[in-house]
Amino acid sequence: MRAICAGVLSTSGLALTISAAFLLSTPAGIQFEDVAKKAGIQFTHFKGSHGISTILEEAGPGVCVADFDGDGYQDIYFVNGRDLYGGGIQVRNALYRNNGDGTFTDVTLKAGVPGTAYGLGCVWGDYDNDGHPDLYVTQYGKNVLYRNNGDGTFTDVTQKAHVDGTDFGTVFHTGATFFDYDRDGYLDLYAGGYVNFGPGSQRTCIIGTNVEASCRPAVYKGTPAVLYHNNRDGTFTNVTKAAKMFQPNGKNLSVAAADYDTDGWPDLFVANDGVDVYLYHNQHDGTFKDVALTTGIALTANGNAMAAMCMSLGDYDNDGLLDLYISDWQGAGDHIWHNDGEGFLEEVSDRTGIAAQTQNVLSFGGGFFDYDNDGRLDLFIANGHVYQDVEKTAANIHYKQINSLFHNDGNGRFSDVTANSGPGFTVPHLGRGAAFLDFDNDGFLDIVVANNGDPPLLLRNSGANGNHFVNFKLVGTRSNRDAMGARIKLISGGIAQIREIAGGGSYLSQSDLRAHFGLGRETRVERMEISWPSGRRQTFRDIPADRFYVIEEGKDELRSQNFKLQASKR
Amino acid sequence: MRKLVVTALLSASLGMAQAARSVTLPNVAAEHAALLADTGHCQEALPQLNKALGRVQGTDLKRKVGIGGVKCSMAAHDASRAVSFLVWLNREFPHDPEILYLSSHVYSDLSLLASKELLATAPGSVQVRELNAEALETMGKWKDAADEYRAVLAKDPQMPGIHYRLGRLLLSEPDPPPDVKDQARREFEEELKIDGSNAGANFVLGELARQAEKWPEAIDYFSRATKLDASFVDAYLGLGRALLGADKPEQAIAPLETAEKLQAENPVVHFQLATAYRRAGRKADADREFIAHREASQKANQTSDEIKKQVSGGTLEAAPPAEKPPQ
Repeated sequence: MRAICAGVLSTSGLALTISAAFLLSTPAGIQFEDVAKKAGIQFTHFKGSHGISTILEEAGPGVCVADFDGDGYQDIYFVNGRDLYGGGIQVRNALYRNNGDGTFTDVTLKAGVPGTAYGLGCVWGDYDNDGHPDLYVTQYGKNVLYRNNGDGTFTDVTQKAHVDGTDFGTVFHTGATFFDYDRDGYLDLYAGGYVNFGPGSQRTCIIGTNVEASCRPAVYKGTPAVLYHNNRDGTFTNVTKAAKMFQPNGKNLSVAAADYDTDGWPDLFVANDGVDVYLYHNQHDGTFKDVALTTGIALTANGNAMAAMCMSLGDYDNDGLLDLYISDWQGAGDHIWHNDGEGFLEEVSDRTGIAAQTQNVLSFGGGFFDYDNDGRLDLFIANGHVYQDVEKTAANIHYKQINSLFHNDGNGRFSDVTANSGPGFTVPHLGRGAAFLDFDNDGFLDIVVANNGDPPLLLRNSGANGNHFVNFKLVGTRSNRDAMGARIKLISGGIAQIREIAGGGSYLSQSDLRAHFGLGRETRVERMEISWPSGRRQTFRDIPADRFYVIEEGKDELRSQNFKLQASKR
Repeated sequence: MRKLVVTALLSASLGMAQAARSVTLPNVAAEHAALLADTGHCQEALPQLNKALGRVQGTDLKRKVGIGGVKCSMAAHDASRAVSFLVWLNREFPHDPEILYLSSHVYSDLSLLASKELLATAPGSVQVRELNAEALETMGKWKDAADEYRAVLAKDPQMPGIHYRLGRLLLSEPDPPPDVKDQARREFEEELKIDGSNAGANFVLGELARQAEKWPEAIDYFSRATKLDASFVDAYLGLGRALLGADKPEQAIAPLETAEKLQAENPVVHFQLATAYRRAGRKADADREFIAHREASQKANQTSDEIKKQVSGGTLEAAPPAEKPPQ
């Protein structure tokens, strides 16, 4: 009750009063359970290793979610490795269709999306605006773009679209994202490159006292990424150099598009491994300028380049501005930057408690999400080391690790609630990619985690803590169909929250594109404003909670999302 | 037999010296002394080496005389003479790896000698316990070290520096108890009751307050630390960070600029100063400092990477897989 009358500065500068209903919400009771097996997900990641893993075999995998068949339920795509050593082992990626009854069916072969090489990451994006999300898979070798035919099948259009990512010779691809950087209504594509690791490269290194392990990225040279502009005819053009984004020494991992300075244009955050972070500020003319250094995020406050695996942008303090989370190497602690609204992000890792609480894990995918629907963004991080025998070098560092969950306490700090969050947080794995989704459409966000060399986790959120929610699926008409780049501002119970629809992020992964808001004990949304990438703005008032809405750009109506049950084929 | 060999070597040496017209008389004597030292005849060598110190010509001979002098002085347990030779060598051969290596060994041996002497002459002294506690601390035996420090305090409750060491020890423990910061804080506060001029204790109390976001308290402690030690870079840095935490960026600039003057190579100082400038609305200054931050970081990381590579050999090539490489 201490802050019932506390003032919170809204984005419009008005002091709002937080209502008692919001503050009565509590994190207690939320439990996560791994239901992957129960849900029929049989997938197991194959890293391709033969003895000591290389940097390639430790890198993946990612996972990405989308409703590819338009039935209202989020489907899941898992990326797999390949047999690198001629063992005759046949593995492929897997597309699991959500049956809507808590189970999934592997439809990979029918859909025709097995991948074409050793897979690393994936993103969804409706690049041709036909209403069916398409799939882009980053691989070691050429990337692959699968066009969704709208009938449950896909077609490999990589060659026709010119988006295999090898334009500058890069073969080790990692994070990617669709985003409409020129706001022409069509999604463009950024495909990241990691290190120059090839058949002749050094494969393993020595760590500690004569322990063989995969090498640090510093052992290899970086590689260029590619920015593809969508030509609106099913093809793309490499505009990396024209857009002033060519960077030959990048070691990209996570990629995230977000309008951090609220100028209406999407900027691009690129996390590198052992190299400065890039922040490509959109110059509104088809070019970008790297402003990471003067924005305060290129390096940590201590002057270190990060092993930056994961990126997530979210307004954790509900001040109307996107803040930034980046995961880092074990011992370095993870990082949070607070956005001051004037083009500067100040590192607040110590102040938020995140730095100290993540010292003993090697963090990969995850990011901000509101797991308990209290209206504040919490933080999930998938953990796991990259050195198989790391225990031989230090007894307190483990190869397989338990993932982390941090609760946003609403006072600028995050508390580690991992130990109290259920059986889903008890078994150590090599956590890599992670995506947030409400797979059972119960109004509470679940988590899917792609593990290296292991089956994935589908962490079902038990929900039912009495908090309310509201969920919006945006459909662009003048803007790109996925509405990537659209920003929603919602006011409920005196709190203003924002979400920006964005692909990519996390680690080699992509989450549910629907905007999910926790409302605490509030049962109505007072006001909701949408700023579309086209520049159009729409406002809705007095919206009932606990519903899933669809909003089409330009139509002032709130429709319900349509959920169709599929016949389970288990 | 050994004597014969030495005599033969000396004769040969003198013969060569006489043959060389350019060789001066003090150099001949020095060459002789260096040879004596090299062959273990320190007693005979040392008086001549002492005479030769500072007088000999020629790089090689200077090196031989200096190294011989250090060796023979150490053999004679003459620490001050050994240090004189070392100082001279370091002046004559700055940054020379061989001389630096020799220095590190000599100072280490001298430290051992001094501690042995302390143990022999004052076995029950608080200093012996303090030294033992420090040794245990470096070995990672935290509990034993703490016990030793407490034993010192039991003997001399007003001994300056011991509460400070105890506090630091508590904060260094790898698996500390949950209330470790409170325990440490109490130790530092006790230290200040005994010795209010302990800049280190003021600094750590400032850090603890800063971490707890008690900005006025942190500012107070850091300010005192900077007054007690005008060259305490971390205290100026802490003061700047605390003032930033207290949302006083304009006031944070002065201590951070001082820290920058004292330690321009520290990337953290540049970052905090850039932050202060930025928040104070001085964007151009902030941008300049962010660039300095990156340059200092690159330099620091480069140095650290070079050391790692040189020391550990960097990485080791392992055999490639017998089968096909990644497709």
